[in-house]
Amino acid sequence: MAQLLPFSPPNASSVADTVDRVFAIELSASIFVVMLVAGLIIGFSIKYRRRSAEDSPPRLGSHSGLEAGWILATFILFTSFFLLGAGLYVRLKKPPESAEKVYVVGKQWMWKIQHADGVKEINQLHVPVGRPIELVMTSEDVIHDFFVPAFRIKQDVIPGTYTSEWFTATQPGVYHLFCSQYCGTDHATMVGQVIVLTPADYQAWLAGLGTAADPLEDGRRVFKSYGCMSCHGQTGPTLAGLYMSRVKLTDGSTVVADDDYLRRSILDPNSQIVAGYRPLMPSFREQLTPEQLNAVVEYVKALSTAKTQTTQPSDDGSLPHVLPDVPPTQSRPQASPSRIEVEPR
Amino acid sequence: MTTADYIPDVAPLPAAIVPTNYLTDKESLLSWLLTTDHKRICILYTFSITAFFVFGSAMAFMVRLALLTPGGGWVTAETYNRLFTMHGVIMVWFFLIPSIPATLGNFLVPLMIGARDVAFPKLNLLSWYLFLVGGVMALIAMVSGGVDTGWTFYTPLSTTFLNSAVLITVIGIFIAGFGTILTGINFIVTMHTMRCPGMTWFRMPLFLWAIYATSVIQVLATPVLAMTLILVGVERVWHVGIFDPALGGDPVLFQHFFWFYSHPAVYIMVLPGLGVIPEIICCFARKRPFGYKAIAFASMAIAFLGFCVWAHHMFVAGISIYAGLAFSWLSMMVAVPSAIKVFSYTATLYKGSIQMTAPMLYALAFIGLFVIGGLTGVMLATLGLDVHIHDTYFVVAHFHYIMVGGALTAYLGGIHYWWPKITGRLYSEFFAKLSAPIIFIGYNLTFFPQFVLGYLGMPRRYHIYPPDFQVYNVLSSAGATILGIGYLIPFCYLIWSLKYGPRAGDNPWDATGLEWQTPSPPPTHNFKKTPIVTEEPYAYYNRKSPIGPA
Amino acid sequence: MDPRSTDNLHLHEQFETLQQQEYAATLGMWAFMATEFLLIGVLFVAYGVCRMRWPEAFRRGSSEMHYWLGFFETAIILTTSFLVTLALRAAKLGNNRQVIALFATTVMLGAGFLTIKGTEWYLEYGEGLVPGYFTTIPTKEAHLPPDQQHPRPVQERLFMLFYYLLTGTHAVHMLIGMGLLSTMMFLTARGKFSASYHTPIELVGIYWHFVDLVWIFVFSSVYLLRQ
Repeated sequence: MAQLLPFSPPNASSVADTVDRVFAIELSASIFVVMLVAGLIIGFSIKYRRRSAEDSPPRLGSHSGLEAGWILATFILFTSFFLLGAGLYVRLKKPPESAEKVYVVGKQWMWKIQHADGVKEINQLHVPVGRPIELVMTSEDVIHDFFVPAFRIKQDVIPGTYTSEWFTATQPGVYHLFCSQYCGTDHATMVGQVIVLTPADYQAWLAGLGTAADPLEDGRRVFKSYGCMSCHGQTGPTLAGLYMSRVKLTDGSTVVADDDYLRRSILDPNSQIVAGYRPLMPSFREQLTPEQLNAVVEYVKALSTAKTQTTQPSDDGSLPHVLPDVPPTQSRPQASPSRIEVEPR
Repeated sequence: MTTADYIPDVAPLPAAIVPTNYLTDKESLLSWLLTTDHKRICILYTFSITAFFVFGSAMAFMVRLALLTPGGGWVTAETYNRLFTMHGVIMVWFFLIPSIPATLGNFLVPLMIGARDVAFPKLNLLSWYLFLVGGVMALIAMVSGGVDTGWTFYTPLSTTFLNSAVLITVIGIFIAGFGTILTGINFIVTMHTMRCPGMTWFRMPLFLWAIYATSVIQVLATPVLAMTLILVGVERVWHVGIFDPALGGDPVLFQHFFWFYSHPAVYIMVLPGLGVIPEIICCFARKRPFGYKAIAFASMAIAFLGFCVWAHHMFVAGISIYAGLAFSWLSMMVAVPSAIKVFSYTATLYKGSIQMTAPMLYALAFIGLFVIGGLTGVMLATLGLDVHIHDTYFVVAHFHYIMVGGALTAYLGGIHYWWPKITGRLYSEFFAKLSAPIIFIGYNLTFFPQFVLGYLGMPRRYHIYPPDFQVYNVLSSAGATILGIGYLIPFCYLIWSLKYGPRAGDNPWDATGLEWQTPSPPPTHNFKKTPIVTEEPYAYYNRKSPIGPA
Repeated sequence: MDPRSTDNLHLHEQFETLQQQEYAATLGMWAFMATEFLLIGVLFVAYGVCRMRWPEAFRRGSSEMHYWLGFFETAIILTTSFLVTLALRAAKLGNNRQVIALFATTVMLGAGFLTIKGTEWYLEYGEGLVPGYFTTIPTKEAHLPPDQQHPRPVQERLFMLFYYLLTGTHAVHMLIGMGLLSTMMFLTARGKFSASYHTPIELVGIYWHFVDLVWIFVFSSVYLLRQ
């Protein structure tokens, strides 16, 4: 695709052209205004230059019509700019239903990326053309920012909470990935690449990685080592069929058990206790890294949709190998704001 | 209105009969350091902010040198981070915020309203000392290793993760902030209570409206900064957790508090400049301003709306979509009164009798550069677009257009315009007219390429960058060199004029305004008799006498 | 020369008339109050935001406050405001002895207030509430078995931070106010004020009432929302 603007990064996402178009409109209007003002200044300075010491300018009356005119004109112009940007922004904030989730964890000074199918990357993100991708991001330490100029997307990555941005790559190539929120000494080295491949090349790349990682291996390991089975299904609420079901809480309210709910239950269990149960679950906030949290949430989601609905330990005490058809990301319960609160309300 | 001693004219006075003035009245060092004369306090501030400007510029220059090569190497990453942080801290709090209000404002506010001094002269002196203490602490921070948080001190980086001299810097800014608050209170009270007979609000020069609006912002916004800095300090020392998510806090809360102060702060930096421009333009076009009341009210509107737009710095920081929409629209609205001013100033030139003196060159340059800065601000306020250009060099270019192309240009213009009044000397118009275009060219060469860099995606605060960005960085650094040379020239000829410049008369520009009705430099008590104002401001149509030296 | 009242020893030279000076002084004090309002306002806004996000933790925090001491402090400070108002009336009547007596009582009551405040802080330190020395299990429950303990939520530290910042800032302003009152007492004793000129006393009065008002807000929002 040809670039719309001469001085711009490659146009490699579905929104890049629109962003450039908005910029081009505003740029043209701005150039016009600058030329107008500069022209008037230069023109007036020449035409009305002081010719003699006896020059005495006329005392002009007021022109409230002209004043009102340019107030209205700027108001209309700037409001139009607002509308241009607002529409684009709402689009940028609403990932498509079918977007594939990719987890991103930023830390000083690297990006750790994990695909839904378990593939892990550091400072690189391989994606196929045409597939909507939603990045679910958090930080281990300070605020970072995941910026891909070619896609025209950017979102702060904040410790303690999850933010997201989405894109659909439209052109194969290798594109800059920058951290664009100052994060300390090596902020400028926290860069990487987004590698967009044709679907065929992407499959080839995946195959070339060797045996496909069991996407739930990490989550299963966390689940086992923290002894979740010792409560859930007995003293604690069962996890079978939990994900995206409606849950009644002790305060009488009913909530949908979405990703947010699962995370909150692990980090701050006493903020939302299931009706009929006591506040016995400890918080795992201190014990789990963000990646472990992501992994175990994915595992619990898998447990909910597994065809073999067993959550009891098998005879040898090990957990069943649940390899369900992990369905594409569930339909979103609501248009998500780019910042998903995990703290209890 | 004439003073009884001699008839004002444009011919320089023989040195022998120059009467005593505020500069010569008492000459001991102590009389300067303990002065309560607003004019002397202006001079004290001018020395200090010039020194800070030199420090801040030196750091900027080192930053631009470091950015000549994509791989860095001239300075380490840590040093680079400290350089840009200190550049920001010094330029914002110790140069731009005081610049016009504490120097030109201090000098002119009482003169322009026909008063003998400000309402609280001792508080005025205290303000300078608070500023100085704060500045010295910032310098101590620099010397004891420096700060590398960025001038914005985002948490949790600044509170939990960095080991640099954050606390000293934060305390220094805190103290200097009280100086700003006191100055703001002083100007507000002075303008309300000490206007001479006949000086109604709408007979005041527009410069005073701008200073009034600035003072309101200073009084209301700076306390918020003070408390925010206390919170940062407490967090650093006692790790309470207000901004630390591991302890249940919220790092984005800091950003709300910081920007609630810092956005109005940028209007503190630019409003006074917007007030200097009409003074210069009206004098050298020999016309009253187009739409005096609109300009006056626009100053107040900018002050008010400036408090309503802070989260436009946070569109990608995780605020809700609705907040984003609201703040974007409000940010568009604050651009409207700015546009009113720009158009009014341009329209003032229509059918004027224009003389292109050095101050006029600065004033006209201001208008063009401020328009560019303002419109790029509108682009940044455009939501979908901001996602791409936020935290890139586009933002850096935008605010430098406003701060350097706008505020600093206006400051230089004002210094030139009132130089004869403040010092009693005339500077060399030739060198002034020589340096203005050099500054203009150097300035645009420095900052215009940064717009391109920003749209191409180069993030801010990077000490190294991908090689594809090098060309524009080199252009920018070349411009910075020219700009630096450009700034040195006024420094030289202005100082030279103090000793060797021809003496100025009362009113070398034949301007309206009470400050020109008293000798240059003014006597300590400003006016022999309290003036009585009977005509409207900028009554240039009444005058036919020629302006002073061309 | 400029027309000035020659019998006016209090007129500073930048002003034309005493009336102008009083107007300026009063306006200056109100402008300063505006800055104080914004300063404290930030804390209240931050407190409010955090209270909305973590209501349970903050309610727990309020419930651990020593509200009887708080009531007592409130009574003291309201009394001082009343006394200051009486003192201002005395100043208008030129009754300097009464002014000094009332201000002295106010200063003493202020000292009482600060003593109670200090006691509260000391008690809270003992209970493990001070941020930085915060204990999750209240000190008085430390000896109980775990299932009888009521651990504090982690965000209660934030509540305590705001408590100390609000009451600490208030205490500093109160100390400053006591200093100002003492200065006024001293100057009154020296005969500087009269029925016709007592502007500084009025200004200090405004300041003291503001300090009182801030306390009312602090008490209501920190101590009283405990249910």
